[in-house]
Amino acid sequence: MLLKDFYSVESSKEEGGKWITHIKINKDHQVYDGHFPNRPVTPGVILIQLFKEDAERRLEKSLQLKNANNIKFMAVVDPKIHDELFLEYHFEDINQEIRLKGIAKTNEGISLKINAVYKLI
Amino acid sequence: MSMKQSLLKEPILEIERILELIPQKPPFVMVDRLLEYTESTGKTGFVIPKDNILVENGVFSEPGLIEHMAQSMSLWRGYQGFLAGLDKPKTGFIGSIKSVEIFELPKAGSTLTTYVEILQEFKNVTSVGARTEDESGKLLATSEMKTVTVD
Repeated sequence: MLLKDFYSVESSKEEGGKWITHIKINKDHQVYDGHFPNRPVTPGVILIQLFKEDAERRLEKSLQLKNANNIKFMAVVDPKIHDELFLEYHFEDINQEIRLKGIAKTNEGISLKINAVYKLI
Repeated sequence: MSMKQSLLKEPILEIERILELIPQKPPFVMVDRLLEYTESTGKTGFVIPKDNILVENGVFSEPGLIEHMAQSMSLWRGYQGFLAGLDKPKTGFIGSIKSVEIFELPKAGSTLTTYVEILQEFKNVTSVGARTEDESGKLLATSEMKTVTVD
């Protein structure tokens, strides 16, 4: 985990060809001291990282982001309001590259859409 | 006078001044110098601290590189605001990433140089292109993203 103690995995299951992982964010994490003072917003790059780390747990391999396109942040994840996130994604291994497509949701709707390609390292 | 002439008399290297120009604060600061500023471009830098929150196993992670590119844009905007007389930077964050490519991850302790170019501004949304190099001029990452500014 890149950010120590940032989140815990509450559950993870495969359903209908996609992975669904329930994550609980540590709303008191120090990252929110800086992003931003008195206005906690989960950094988009940290949300992106959640998918890589979850795919690494599925694959039991290390990944490095190679490229991504059309990542959309649909709604701000304020940890004081939303500290539970659901990652829904699927991936395929094509010629030693992991192609992942997914969304992150709070209980109020989609926060993020992602398309990413990782290389195995 | 060339449009591309830097409007900075000299680079801003003091972290205290940088922190007055960007909304992010420690421990989530991923840029530490403004080297050049024009109306549509900027050149920034960052010496990656070994204890940076986005360093893992001695390497600056992908989120670190992407955030560095986004904060380079933040710094450009902060200086634009400073020139316009704002007393503090507006909060801004990434709205979308049209594309990002990571070629290589830099080691902690190394120095990044990043070139940002403002592609389009509409209301509070800015499209920006960025590319980041290491000390030897090797290209580490490129991106095109939209950032959203709020008050």
